[in-house]
Amino acid sequence: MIARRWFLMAGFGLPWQEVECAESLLPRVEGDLLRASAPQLHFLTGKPLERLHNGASVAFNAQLSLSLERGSAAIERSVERFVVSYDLWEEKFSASRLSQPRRSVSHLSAAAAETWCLLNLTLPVTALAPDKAFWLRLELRAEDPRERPAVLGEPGISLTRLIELFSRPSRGGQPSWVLEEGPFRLADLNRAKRSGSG
Amino acid sequence: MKYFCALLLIAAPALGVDADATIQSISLTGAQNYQLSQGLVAQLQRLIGQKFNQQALDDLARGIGNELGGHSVSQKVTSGDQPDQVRVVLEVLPQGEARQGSGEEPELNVNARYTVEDVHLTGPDQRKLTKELKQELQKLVGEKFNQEALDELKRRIKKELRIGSITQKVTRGEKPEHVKVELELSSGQDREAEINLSKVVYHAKQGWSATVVGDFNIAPQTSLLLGIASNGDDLLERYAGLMAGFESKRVVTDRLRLRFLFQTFHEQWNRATLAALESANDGPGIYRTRKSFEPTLTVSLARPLTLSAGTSLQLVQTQFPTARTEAANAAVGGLRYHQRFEDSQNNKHDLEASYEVRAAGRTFDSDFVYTRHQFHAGYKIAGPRQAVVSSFTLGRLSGRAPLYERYSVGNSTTLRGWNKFDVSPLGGDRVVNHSLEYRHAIDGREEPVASLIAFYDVGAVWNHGERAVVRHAVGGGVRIDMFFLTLAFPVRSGRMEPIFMMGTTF
Repeated sequence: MIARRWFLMAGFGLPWQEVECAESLLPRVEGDLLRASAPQLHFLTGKPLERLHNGASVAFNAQLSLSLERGSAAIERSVERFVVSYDLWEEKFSASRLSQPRRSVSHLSAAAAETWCLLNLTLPVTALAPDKAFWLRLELRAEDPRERPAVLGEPGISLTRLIELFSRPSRGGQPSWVLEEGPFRLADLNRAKRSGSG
Repeated sequence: MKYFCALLLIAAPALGVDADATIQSISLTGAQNYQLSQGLVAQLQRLIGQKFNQQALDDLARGIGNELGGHSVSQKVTSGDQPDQVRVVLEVLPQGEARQGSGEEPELNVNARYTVEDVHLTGPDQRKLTKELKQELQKLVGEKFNQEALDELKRRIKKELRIGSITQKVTRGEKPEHVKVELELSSGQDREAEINLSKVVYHAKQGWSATVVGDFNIAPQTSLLLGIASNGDDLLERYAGLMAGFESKRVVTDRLRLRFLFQTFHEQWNRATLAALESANDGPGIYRTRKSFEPTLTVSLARPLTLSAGTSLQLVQTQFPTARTEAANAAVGGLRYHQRFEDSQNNKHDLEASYEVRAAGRTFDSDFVYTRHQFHAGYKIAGPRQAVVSSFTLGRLSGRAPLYERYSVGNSTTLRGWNKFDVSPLGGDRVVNHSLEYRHAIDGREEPVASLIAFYDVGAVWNHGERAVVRHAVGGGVRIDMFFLTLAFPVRSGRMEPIFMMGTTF
């Protein structure tokens, strides 16, 4: 992915160093949906990766929320549950998003699987004014097996319980990540998108 | 900067799938009885051979779901024949049939497509596994890898062996598309082999007694012991105070354990004991406080057989005729055998036998000189719904020993239904006790934890040269895991006063 960026930056005539992004969350708009990626975030590491390499699947609960000020109550939020597994023979990762419609993908590298999970977390932004500043917060937790019965419901996952889960601090020792970034404006994101495609 | 980064993102791979990837094929499953409209078929065919476009796929999936009466359609993307190709599978989920039931989750582990070649157990406790569980593990061989089934077996193994954790390792097998499963059983303490220091009991005649000892891991295989007690059940006196200790469960080798235990207690005496002492000519005196230090080394000779050796250094502050401190320093040795096995009818057998000797003498600078022998044997046979438990104790004490070394029966575990202060307020230097208990499960679980119990106890405690008076007791109650609730009746002529007891050991 880094090599690809380098090529693209060279194509735009920009030196590589100038586009070294310090920001952790990078939003993009696609129609009425906002997605965010986090190139610096790597959650397939440590204990979760050890479990994956030992043949087990690992579930991650993710929440992307949008608020008008940093640290204030979210006005939009999206929660998802992803299950990642590692193919012992192919040595590649598979990931599944469990909410309907279910999506899954296989034969990915660790970074690609992480990106796939994050970009499958979307927020509707139709109600947000284009020039209104907003903050994005991403919370990701490797699922504690004790939480699993509460999260699973019918059909598939209990969104209410997932939201409830994120209202509590993560258990001690439970791998978790939090990224918060802003302010962004839809107008800036849309302008950037048009310039990129033009 | 954000502008540049947003620009960067647009060119980044879409949704984690390489945006240069071409869709090799799109297949539809779960819709054999349905006929898609020409429009949807055309829409599907237009995407084949094109660059991967998630939005277009989402639109197609939504269209199919709507046309088929609101069904959900899930997407699965896998690699194609060429590195730059992907295959897409759209699965139509039947309406009204939840993909997963309450609490269940469909197999999401990519390794579920591989066949289990071998299941291998490691760890010192593996030999204790029942035949039934071993067979269940071997049934996994030749089947597709199923994490859920493996988790359930791990849960049952942990419960069966009372171990803390099982580490799972799945690796490639020798044959292609096969995997090997290794389960490493933690060499955690065999709780049944440990001296059970903790309990909380209530005896209608002797009141509440509690000894609680916490075992805190401070390093691998090393723990700190901290405890508190107010116990009127075990000995002739009620002792209250603190315990602290250190235990290393692995000294050089797994076969060696070392423990240091320090205890300090304040003693209280029953009126019956005090009255009996007044009339006794050469009985041992009571003491106000007792402090002890007991280092013990335990060697595992063979898996079911352990040998322990150590010392018991005790200081008692006697009160009469004058307050003074006396030492009761003894060498302690013991041999313990504990074996579990299962027979061809799947009945579980638990056999335990132990012998302990404590010898105090001038060599150890002890004011008391005595030798104390105690032999214990226990046997339990358990079927799916019933169990019988038998426990036998025999003891012999010679010399001059402090009161805490004298034998007594008539508490929450021996000669239940009798009060030890009625049987012998000063205890004795000989003891025989046998308990026989029948248990019948009353819950419907596969491994019952609640049962009704009925028991018969017989025992005697006496001094050398005296006639032994054998006493009997019967009773019944309820046992839920380690917790018990019983009513016991002493068998004697005349008034029969039942004794209520309840408590737990842990």
